[in-house]
Amino acid sequence: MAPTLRLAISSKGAYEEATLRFLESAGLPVWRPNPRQYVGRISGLEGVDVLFQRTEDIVHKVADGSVDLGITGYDLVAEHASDNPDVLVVLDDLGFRRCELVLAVPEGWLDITTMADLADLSVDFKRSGRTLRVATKFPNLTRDFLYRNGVHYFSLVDAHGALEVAPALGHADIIADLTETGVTLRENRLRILEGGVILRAQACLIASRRGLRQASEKLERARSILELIEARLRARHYRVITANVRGESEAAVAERITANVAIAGQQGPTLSRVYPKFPDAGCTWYEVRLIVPRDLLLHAIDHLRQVGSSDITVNSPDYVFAQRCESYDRLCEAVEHEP
Amino acid sequence: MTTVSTTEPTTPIERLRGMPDIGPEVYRRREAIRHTLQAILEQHGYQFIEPPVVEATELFLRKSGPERVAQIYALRYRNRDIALRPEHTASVLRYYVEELQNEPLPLRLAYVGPVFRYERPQAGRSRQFTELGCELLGAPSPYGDAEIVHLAVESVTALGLTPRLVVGHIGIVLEFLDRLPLRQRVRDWLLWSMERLRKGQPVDVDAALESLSGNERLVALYHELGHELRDISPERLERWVLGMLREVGVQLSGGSRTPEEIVAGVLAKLSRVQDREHILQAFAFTRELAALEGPPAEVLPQLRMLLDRHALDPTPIQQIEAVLQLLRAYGVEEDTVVLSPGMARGLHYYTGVLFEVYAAEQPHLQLCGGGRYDDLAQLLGARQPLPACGFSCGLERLTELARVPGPSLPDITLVAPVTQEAMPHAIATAEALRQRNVQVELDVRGRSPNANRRYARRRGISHVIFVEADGTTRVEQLPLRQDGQE
Repeated sequence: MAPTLRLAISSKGAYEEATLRFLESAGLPVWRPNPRQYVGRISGLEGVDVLFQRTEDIVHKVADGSVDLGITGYDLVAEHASDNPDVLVVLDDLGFRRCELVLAVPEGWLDITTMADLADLSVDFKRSGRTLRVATKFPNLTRDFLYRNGVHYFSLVDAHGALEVAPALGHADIIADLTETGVTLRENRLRILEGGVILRAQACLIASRRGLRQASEKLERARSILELIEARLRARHYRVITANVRGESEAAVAERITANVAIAGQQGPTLSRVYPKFPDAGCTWYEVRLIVPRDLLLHAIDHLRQVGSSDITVNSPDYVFAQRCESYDRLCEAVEHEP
Repeated sequence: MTTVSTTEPTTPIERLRGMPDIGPEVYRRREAIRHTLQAILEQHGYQFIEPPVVEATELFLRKSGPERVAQIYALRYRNRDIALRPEHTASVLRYYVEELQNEPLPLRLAYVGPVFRYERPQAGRSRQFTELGCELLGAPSPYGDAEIVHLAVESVTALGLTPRLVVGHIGIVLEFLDRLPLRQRVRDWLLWSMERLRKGQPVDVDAALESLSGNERLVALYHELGHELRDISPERLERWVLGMLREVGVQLSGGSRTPEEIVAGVLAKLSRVQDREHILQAFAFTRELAALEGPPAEVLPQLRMLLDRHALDPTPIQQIEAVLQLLRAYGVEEDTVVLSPGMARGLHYYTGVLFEVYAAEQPHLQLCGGGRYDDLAQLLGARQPLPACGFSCGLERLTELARVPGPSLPDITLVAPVTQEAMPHAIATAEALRQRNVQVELDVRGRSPNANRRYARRRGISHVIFVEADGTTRVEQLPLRQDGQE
């Protein structure tokens, strides 16, 4: 029997919901017999087990090869596996659970606004026999960031529970913590330093070099998942425009539309003739279909209007497939490659 | 209790990134080179010691440059901050402070052992390597310096390489910096940037200025108000600002600093703008210094002019000249020396002459480096000042570059019992040969004579001695293995 591909996702409340929603939107709905069970399956995809795990554990399980794929926060991957060649980041922008790891100081520290100020403060602290204490759950990322920014004298404080209160309670002087909106930090009278963003992160898809090396069947199953996710992610950047354009001939309409190269679709427009309800002598209508990058949508609409379009409708595609599945190609290369 | 079945295959555990395995061949080569270098040091009266691999992290933090600090393998274990040593000098000096302060000086100590640096793994650089070096404790400049530089040059020469010696003197820049009221962070940056300039790497002065002394808004504010505020005493100014902030309801408490500290910080930030002049002044000097590099005959007059112009103490020049003169007595000619007064190296404990040795064949690969560190012993708690200097090198890099014939393969003889019953006789034969200093391998797999011959050929073993059950022996000489053939 071919080995099962194991995909680990978060079992934590909001994170779990967001992940399941994302997979469903990519055409990979997860099914499990009952919500208390920790193993599920993907409807329509044989040989894949979906394991519900603690978000923090997913990176480690992927690292040791006990699961093959995982969806977790890029922050956790960067902290726990940036130096681990067995953890491959396949897609780093799944588009949900966006957050930032930031350095924050007590609001009352009026003199400390930049990283340079913090560097000076750490030297002042050292001179007066104190150590700047930084509370964080991300010691590796924080340490590297502080060193990179000229802060060399500090100690990291292991933090349990709510980090934001550590300065107020006197456990630490400043904190490095994850924030989505900054509200919690502000409510706890903390301020993010200028240039104090250590990392911007969102959910990402990681793969285990060890796990996938064992069996080519697993790689093939991973391809099914990657194809759908990658095409779904790519689709976010495109819109499909349908418009009716009046013109003398197909060629004339096509010429007017392709006059603006940037918004004339990926290869060019598709035209098909419209058979009008009320025939208008001497004039023909054509339906034009274009796929344009999302950020050029309004330009495209303007252009279509100029060349005489009406009844313009816009849809979002579910998938946009490229010539090859790029993430799969990257994965194969990385799995083969010796670290 | 769980039992692990030994027959079931498990996933192999891979080597950690950046941590090399030293195979038998490289090991043999490296050991041969270690012997060569060890002999040179011992001939000069150095005694080898072995400090522990793990030390208190604080030992390495006292006086390492920022770049080195970031590379320390530091961890917290059972509530103690411990580190794998990134170098030996701090450990040797700690040992001196603990054990040797009453010994007569000078002390000549040497070491060889693994050190650990968390660097980006790349060709010729791994996270663990073998450092070999020595420290000359209690010898002031220039005699001490000359001995150490000579040892480094001789070590490289002994490996068949042509040394290119680059000499600097950190005392020049340190004296200049000491005259200006510069903060530690500014000094760190200036030394770091001087080293970069010397190597021809770019330095972004504007970004550094903003980071070190405040942005344009602050500069403008200072120009507007600075000279008027200067007449008010800092204490009064602090009291006034604190009072104002309290009055308008700005929250200054919270966290571990007092409102007074925070207000002092605000005012300090404004006055940091004054540093701008000093930073630019110091930067201009370090740039001039870094630009001087070349043969001593060319650089020394220019350096003398530079020191004259800034009215700096000429002692460093005298020391360099004295060292160069002594080196001549050791056989190091001036035309193999490059003078580079802008050299800073990564370690911040140097105080005087410092140097690096490169191979003329590979001008960018540093082979050894060292210098004088007269303050370090006291920084680590010594009762008296201790003039000291030393050098070190990475054995693996030297092994890779050395132009000496590698040690020949050991000449091994295989003793093979022909039957099971012959084994006791085979053991006796092997032991007797080993008594006579022959390297002997014993067949422990119970192979047939033909299998043993095949094995011996693949291993490059020249002689096989077959032992019969009655104890008789038969020696067979095998054709020599061709090079490159398995």
